[in-house]
Amino acid sequence: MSEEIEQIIDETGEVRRLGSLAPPEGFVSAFNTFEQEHPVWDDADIKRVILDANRTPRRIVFGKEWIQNQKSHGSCNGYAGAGALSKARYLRGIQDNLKLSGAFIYSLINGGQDNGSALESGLKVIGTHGAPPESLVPWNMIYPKQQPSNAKAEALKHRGLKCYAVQTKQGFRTALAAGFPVIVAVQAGSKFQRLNAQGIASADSGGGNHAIHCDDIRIIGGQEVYDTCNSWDVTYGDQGRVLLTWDSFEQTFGRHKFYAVASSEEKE
Amino acid sequence: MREFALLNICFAALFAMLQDDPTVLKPAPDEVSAGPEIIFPTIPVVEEKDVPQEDHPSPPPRPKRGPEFVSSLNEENWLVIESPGPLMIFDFPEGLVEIDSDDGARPMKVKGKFADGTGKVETRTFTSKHLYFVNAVKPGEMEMLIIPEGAINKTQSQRHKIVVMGQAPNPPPDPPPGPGPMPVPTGNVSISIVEDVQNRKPDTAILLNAMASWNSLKDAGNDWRLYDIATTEPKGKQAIEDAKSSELPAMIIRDRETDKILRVIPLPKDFDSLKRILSELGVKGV
Repeated sequence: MSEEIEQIIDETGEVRRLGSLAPPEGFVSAFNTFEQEHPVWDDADIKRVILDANRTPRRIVFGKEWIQNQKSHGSCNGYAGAGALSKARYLRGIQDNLKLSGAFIYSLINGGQDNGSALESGLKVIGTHGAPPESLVPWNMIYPKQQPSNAKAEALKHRGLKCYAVQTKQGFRTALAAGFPVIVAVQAGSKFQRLNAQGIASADSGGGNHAIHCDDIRIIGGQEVYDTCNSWDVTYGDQGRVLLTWDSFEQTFGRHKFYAVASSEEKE
Repeated sequence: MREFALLNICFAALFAMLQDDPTVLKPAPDEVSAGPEIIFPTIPVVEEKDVPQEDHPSPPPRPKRGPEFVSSLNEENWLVIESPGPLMIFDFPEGLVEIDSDDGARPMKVKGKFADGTGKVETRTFTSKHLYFVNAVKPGEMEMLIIPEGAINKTQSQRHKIVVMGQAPNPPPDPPPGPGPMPVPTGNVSISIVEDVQNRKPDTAILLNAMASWNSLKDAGNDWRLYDIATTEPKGKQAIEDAKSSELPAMIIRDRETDKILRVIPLPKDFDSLKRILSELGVKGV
């Protein structure tokens, strides 16, 4: 089974298992769509929000200390969800810089094998089980039996409250402008690892083999770009981040659903 | 404290009624008419014979009187109300004084200057089970309505006029953005924002984006939280309840120390408006 998912060697020589599995043909998400539940803004509104003088780019709000490292496991999906949920908490004013565990989320959706997972499964875990601190369930605890006995109880303290499947490009842009982190699928190949002078990576060809999360929409050099966080440590890209254009999502958006984490909930 | 604030609002109406009711017993400013249970500080009246002649070259005749209730309070002094049972104490207008209760172990020794004291630091021993420490916050003239819990007769209540920090009458209040009294914060606030996240507008997104990186607000000791209307968090549910008088998204600003609600307002349209509102409230870090 483990040979079924792709793997590449990143720029630092680390083997990265690419564990984002595309849903089957005709898959219908169990989540309400963002476009059904939230008004989709027009271009003028999106531009007004992202060009506001008081808006601090998310890569400054969420510096390199927020970058996680899944290491050699195929747990990207869990990390994409954990990163999005951690930031949704922070953006609610819970600014304790708590990073949540991607390994925990992955452990509940990998079927007992390190063989990747689907984005939708990860989002369900975010809404139902939540995620514990990464310090409690670190990268190598990708199976429940490896985890401390209080992992599930700690996870329930940090859950997603309103999460949506994003259906359209305009919905995706609106969600980001509104401030909602979005879990996305990308094709991670050699181009994904090479950034141009502006910090933008071009698109590899493929339907999406890797999950990351996107936390900002910006205009750089007259071009709309999406700021994304990978979970390959700060040695990847620009301190762990990469800017992508819509080209990088064009192929993956149809095959995978993207998911916005609009709000979170804490339990004492 | 939240319940206290809500009760306070309710009793503001009661207070207004009492004021208009000629049958209500109102302690005259120069007569001690408190019930025997509540001990409100008093000060002795200086007799004519004790007044140096040079201060009163032509002293008018004056009837002999007993002690008077304390009617002034400065920032250095404690005004301590004692009672064997719990009291409800309402201050009108709110914000000129701060009232802290204590029903802990007795006797209790307190060192400080007292409103009915000598003007010097004293150490006093209090034995009453319920103590209420009143201290000055802001200059002005205010009244306190003191009602023992479970009171069934209005004569069991007391009203006292106090000139706080030597100034009366009160300066005109700030223009009210919403209904209800407006206490003044101690400098730090906790802000709850209630929104329907499914209906987030661009202006809200702009404001929340600005708040996300407004580190100086939190660094100064303030806090803020955003709650969706679907939250089940207890504080979020309380915020939703508090926000009922406002359109959404709404902002509830509480004094972080006392938890008293200072403002319930629609979320300001922009970051500058938010900063102006907080600045008017004297919030630190703005």
